[in-house]
Amino acid sequence: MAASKLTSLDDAAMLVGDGALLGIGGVLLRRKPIAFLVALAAAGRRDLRVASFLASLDVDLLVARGAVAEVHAGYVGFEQLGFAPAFGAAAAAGELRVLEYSELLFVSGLRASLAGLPFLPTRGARGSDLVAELGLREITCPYSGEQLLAAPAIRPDVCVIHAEAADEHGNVLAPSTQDFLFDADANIARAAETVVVTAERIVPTSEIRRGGALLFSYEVTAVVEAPRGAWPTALPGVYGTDIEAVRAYLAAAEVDPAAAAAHVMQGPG
Amino acid sequence: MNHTVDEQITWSLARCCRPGDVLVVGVATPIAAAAGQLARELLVPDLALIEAAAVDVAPHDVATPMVRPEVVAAEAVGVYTQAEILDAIQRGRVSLQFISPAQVDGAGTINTSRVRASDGTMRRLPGGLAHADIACLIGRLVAYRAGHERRFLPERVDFVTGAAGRVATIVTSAAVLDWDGERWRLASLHEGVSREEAVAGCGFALDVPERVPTTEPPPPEALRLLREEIDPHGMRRLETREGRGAALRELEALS
Repeated sequence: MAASKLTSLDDAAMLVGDGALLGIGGVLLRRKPIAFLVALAAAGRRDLRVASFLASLDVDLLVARGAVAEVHAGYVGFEQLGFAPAFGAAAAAGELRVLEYSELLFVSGLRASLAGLPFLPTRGARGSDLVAELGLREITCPYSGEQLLAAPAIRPDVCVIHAEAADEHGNVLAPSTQDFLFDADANIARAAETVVVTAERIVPTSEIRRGGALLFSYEVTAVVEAPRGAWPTALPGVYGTDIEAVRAYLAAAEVDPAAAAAHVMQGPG
Repeated sequence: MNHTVDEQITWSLARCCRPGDVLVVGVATPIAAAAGQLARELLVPDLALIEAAAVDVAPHDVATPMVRPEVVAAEAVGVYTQAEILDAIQRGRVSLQFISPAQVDGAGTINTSRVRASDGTMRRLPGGLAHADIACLIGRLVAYRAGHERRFLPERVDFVTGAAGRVATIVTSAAVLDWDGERWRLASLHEGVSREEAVAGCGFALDVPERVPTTEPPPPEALRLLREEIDPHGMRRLETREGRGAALRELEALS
């Protein structure tokens, strides 16, 4: 049997160096690995380049703590709850390089990485100003002559995701519910070089055998037990979004993002 | 029965659905979500309704996905993966989506990315999600907003998130506009709105026919369904300026 990959949040945070391209799992206000990001911010990490498909508190929290230089995302906000305050302020102040993707551009970039390819052609985003901003090039289909966009592979140095359960070897239990983009974490994890998984519970491998796997042990670098590790975002099927806590963050961050972040960093009450 | 502007917009969106349509409803747009369900109940029973990535969702309160997202997915016929839903859009399989961009201009270009503030600087918005993609891949788009002003309907967008060409209809708090292939035409005016108000709210030249009908108001059965079954907690008001605060408190109480 392979050695245990169990470690602490602080030790796992050491896998992310200053300036690293960090892929963050979760979508909108669901499955965000907040406990890990809190540890990363507390460790004083700087100049991170962050890739998060549809971001919310994950990106805003890191930006509020001054840890981020660059954001790659299709969305950074809190849906109907409001805009991302720290992200918005830092972007307006020119302190952040923001690369806005369309969903197809982002996911095509991940899928290129998954397939071990340098890019994937896509019909998405044609005619958008985003294309020039991202510096995308076109490619001609050698068979039909059709012009397509070449979405470059997104290959994070490190990716972090939060799951309901994992075993000590790195096998990750598949989500118990097929909510919106329930499989997205497997895509961004497999696109990355190094994978950190935080989990509500550490379980025997037999439980993963029964429930099915999101990721297999050889695909995972480190496993951390982190109960309520997605709080205040949701872990669908286990707990919902703590809307009161998110709204409290948003209200506080309007005044002082760093102080609002510090409050989240104290963890669930 | 009296109705509010959000209910009028919801009904006008529902009326854009046609038999055979495959409708995708995105996130954070409760009016669009309510309109899809309303259309399926009253107008287009065979509507293929994809909410987020859940296919053929069962009838549900539109507040549910905001509070317990797994419930709607569990009661759907099935759920697309992240790649599958975008592939369905990319291969042209989705025929309709309701979107609420920050701007739609005189050519039908959409902007969800950033807008110019009064001091001339660009203000970054949360981001366009799939708007850049659907603008060139989905059969018809219907853009809507509980407002009717030049800020939303400028001559030219401040930033091109999605290319022009697929927005077929715009539904606002004042009127319904149809794209006639070259420009926006005033298709109908909501009850109590003058044609002058509709024209004044557009930053582009609006084609105003001699006779402009009144927008069909939501019938009593639509209002009953909306208020009692599809959106009993009034989440559609999250998309209106005046109703947003109370709707947010309602949402918080539900969570």
